[in-house]
Amino acid sequence: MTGIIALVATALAQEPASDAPPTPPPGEAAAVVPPVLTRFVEAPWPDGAPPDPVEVVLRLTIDEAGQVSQADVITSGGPGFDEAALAAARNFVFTPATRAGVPVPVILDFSYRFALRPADPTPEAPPVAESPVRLEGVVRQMGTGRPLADVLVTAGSSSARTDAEGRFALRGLPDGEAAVSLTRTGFIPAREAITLGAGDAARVTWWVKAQDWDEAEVVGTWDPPRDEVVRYSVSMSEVRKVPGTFGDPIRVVETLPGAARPAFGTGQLIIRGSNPEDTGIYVDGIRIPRIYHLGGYESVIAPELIGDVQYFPGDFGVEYGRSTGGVVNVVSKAGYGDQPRIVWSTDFLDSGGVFTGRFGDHEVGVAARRSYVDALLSAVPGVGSFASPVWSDYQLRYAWKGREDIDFSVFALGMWDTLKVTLPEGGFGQGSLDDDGVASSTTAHRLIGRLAWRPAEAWELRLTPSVGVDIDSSSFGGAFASYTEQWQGSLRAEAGWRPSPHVDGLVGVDAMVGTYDSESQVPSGGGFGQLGGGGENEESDDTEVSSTFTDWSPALYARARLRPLRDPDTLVITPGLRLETDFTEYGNAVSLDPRLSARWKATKWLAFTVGGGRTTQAPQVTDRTELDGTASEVTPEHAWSASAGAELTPMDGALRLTATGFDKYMYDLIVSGNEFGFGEWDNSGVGRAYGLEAMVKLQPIHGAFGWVSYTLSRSERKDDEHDDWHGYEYDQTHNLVAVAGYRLPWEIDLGGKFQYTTGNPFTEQSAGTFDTDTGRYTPTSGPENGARLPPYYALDLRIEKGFTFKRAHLGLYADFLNVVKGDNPEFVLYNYDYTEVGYVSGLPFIPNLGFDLEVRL
Amino acid sequence: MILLTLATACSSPQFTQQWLIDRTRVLAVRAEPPEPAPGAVVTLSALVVDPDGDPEVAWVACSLPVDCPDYAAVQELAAADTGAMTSDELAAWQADATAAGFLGFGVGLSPTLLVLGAGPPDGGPDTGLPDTGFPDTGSAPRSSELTVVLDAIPAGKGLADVTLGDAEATEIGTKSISVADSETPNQNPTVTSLSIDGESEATVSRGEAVSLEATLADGSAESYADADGETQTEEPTVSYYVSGGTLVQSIVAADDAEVSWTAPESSGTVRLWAIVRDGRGGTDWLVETVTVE
Repeated sequence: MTGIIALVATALAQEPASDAPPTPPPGEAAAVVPPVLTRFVEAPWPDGAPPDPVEVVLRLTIDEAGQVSQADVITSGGPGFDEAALAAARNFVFTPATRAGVPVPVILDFSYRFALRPADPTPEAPPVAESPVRLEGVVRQMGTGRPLADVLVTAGSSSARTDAEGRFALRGLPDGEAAVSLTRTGFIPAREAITLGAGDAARVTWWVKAQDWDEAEVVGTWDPPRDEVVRYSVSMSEVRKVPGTFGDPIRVVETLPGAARPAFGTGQLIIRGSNPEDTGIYVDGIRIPRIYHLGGYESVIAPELIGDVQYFPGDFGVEYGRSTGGVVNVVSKAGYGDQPRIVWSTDFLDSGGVFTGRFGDHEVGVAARRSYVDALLSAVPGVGSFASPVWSDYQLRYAWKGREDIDFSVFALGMWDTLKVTLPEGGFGQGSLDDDGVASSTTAHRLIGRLAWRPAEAWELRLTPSVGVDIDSSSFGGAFASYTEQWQGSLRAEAGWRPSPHVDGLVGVDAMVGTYDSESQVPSGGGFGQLGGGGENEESDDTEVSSTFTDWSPALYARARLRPLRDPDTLVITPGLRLETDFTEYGNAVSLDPRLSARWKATKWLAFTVGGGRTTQAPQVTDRTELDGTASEVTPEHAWSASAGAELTPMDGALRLTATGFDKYMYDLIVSGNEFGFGEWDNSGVGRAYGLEAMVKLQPIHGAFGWVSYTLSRSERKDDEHDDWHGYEYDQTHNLVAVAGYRLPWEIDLGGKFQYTTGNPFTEQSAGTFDTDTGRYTPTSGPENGARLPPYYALDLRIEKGFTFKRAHLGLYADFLNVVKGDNPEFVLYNYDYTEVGYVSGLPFIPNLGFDLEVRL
Repeated sequence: MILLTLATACSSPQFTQQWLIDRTRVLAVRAEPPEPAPGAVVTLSALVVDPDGDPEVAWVACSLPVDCPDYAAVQELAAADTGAMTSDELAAWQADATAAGFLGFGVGLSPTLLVLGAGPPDGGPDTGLPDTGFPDTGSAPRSSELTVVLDAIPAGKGLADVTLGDAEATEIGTKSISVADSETPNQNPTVTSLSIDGESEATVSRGEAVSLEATLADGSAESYADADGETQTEEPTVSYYVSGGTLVQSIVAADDAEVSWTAPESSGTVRLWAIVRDGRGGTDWLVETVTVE
């Protein structure tokens, strides 16, 4: 957790689109091993310049050979200095950056500091080498304990630079008190005092502190050549500082274009007007049932084990399927570094610990977390007595690094969530018979293996098998209970071939087999009761429904990537095909989904993208069965979509503007034919979603970062071709999110997030009639989703103070949610006869305090 | 979900409680017998309450559950009393209305008779109903559902002041009646007492918390065969309503029907209602008056 390399002030490395290897598959971590400076060239002090220290920030493009192929000034240090720094930097030599062992070109920002030495020793000076060594030692970095190379150690007229092991030796010092200064770009200058006895050679270990405490291994914004039309990315160091996301990289997806604001507590991913269940969530290319714990606060994977979060709002590559919405692929972090470390995180909601380390050829990562928010809630009068949420998770990762041409890893992860809610008497404005309350639990486990082999330079073979189980159970009072158990096995096998810089191809199999067992107990009337306007559920003769089926769905896919022009990056065309299948006892379905995307880099700073295709999604488990336990006759849902966008990267990429228009037509949507919205399934529904997404992002530089995401969209549905269009329940016309962060001195980070969203549509109810047989009012309904909630807006703030110790770093933070907010209604409630309307408002002001402690062993 | 519950607890809107009678309300409609056979005579009675006096009630019976009553014509008919239509017009209207599922119309709160015809052509027995009663309903098919809709018009207003069927202006109650040839037709349950702290009559202090408990007659929870032929036992519920004070719980199972009621802080009389429903269309009620001192 430091600045990437010697002399690099900002942990920004970015691979230019040119000459890059094929896109890593969904399962492959896209982490880049940063370059390391091996030859530093000292720039001459410009003639006549004042002797004050000066900094010039350069942006260097480092090629596969480690040579500086381009150097530009980003922040000027003044006339003379800029030219001197550029001239020197062009002669730097680095070890090349690598990804998956293959050298890749990168861009990084380099801070060149000019400072006059107290007394510059001239080469013609007396040969100090012959003087005895008076002072020797090692310089290490605060926080990590790592030896630091290239630190200039100066005492009087003697000076030396530390070597790769951080060692230095000073000669020719007089006896007595010596003032020593330690300087290195990107580090806070340190001063040490030491008393040298007569004829002694003193031995010391000194520590210097980096100016930025940043993720070392997780490379920031990362922009590989792409199949998909739009992919937004944010670096881990930015993620950590976004308020309200609790440092969880997956939560940041909610702040990116295309993602609607979910109702609080649901953590749903509603991408480009799709249903939450239409967005596929993957870990290393393997589907998982859910990404967030209860309450949507934290994802089920420890942030320290996440290498990258890939978010595709639509028109994704053929590697992905079984979803008509978006795709979120969480890539587990590969490469833990040679220093074992432990990270402990605690806040008001939960605590967790992570260990990562490398032992020879073996890499091990272990993480676990458990919540205790239930205990805290129980201390809140009127809350804890009925709400009792508990969540926990674990991850274990092993990787073998024995051979350059082979990647092998095993990742096991699992989660348990339970929630018990005892409904308060009259808590919904009504009397209630249900004192059993609501209970739900979710358990999921996955074991994911991964083997990648590069038998020859142009070839890569990848195999990703996995097994897992998901168990869900829920009950609603005495009225409704269900239990579902799903066992799943999957295998992804891919072969990638790149015969020339102008053509590459990929073929793959993505096969899944699952068994589903479900049992549910529903009231015979099918009525689940209403929270508003009634509250009495006196049905007692329940119906038990159980179903079991096996689902076998091998998918085949292939794509080519063509780069027809002389500069291979100018135009990239990616046609692909995915054969989606679904075989169950209930029926078989096969669809062939074509996809196409293209990217044209018109100038250095302007690119256009376009893409489109069809996607297919098999019915959800719940849609496969009718209330009486018989098989429903539904078939997969489909969507055709298209998008086109432009990407501007002015100011040498310091600013990134993207704008994308999208249009999607969904058909064969599964809808319920009855008033309860459950059962009597058929494929008569259709939907459409269209809109514009825009994002302006300032690439992180000098401790400042930020972005603004805006989505203008409309999403509509109809249950039948002959109906009128009505708004989708999460249709949000405007969704604006602004995020900014800034680093102050003294290791203080400030962050802010503001969101404004149009209110969700809802179906208005008006004065009801009293059913004397049930004692409940039946409302008169307005047009479906014909009304809208008032808009939502909220400002969240975050402040963090870091403390760096010799081998540890402590971050204390306070997250303040809803510092400024509107009424933010989330749901509409009615009184017993639907004559009074009220809202369940969003969260109040919530302060959350916590700390992250990282220790290097 | 956590936060949903949190917020529900913290920021739920404060609504008027359904157990507090502070306006005209239809609380129950009782059919005797509750599950009549074709040709039976059904006596309907309604519990309609109004803190400000006696509300006017208009009834419409239909053989279709939805959208049956032609309210405008019914209202015209009722308000005009005489002379609104010629006898030919009336006959024509009745023919159309009957075709649309209209069974009959009545005004008033007192027990009203609904006669289910055994079928055409004779139309069943002639009961010589008063004007406020339902006429002969003609043909009620076997195993059919009848719907009775009540419009209770708040005290101080008359039939001519409101539009029937307007849920904003009148309090509308609906009642379904199953017409079936059952060997063991459903019976109405019976509430035998509504005790206050175990006493049949009581005077309570202002702000005092006491218990209310409705007691059902033996046999109120009947056994019956469900749609699958399995024997089930009714689980009756009791709904309490009060004209003052606070109820902690208002709808409970009849076999554990004790609830807590806190008397208002001002003295006066408070009316208490206990309504029992057997879940299959059978109902009964009791009203008590408590003096708060």
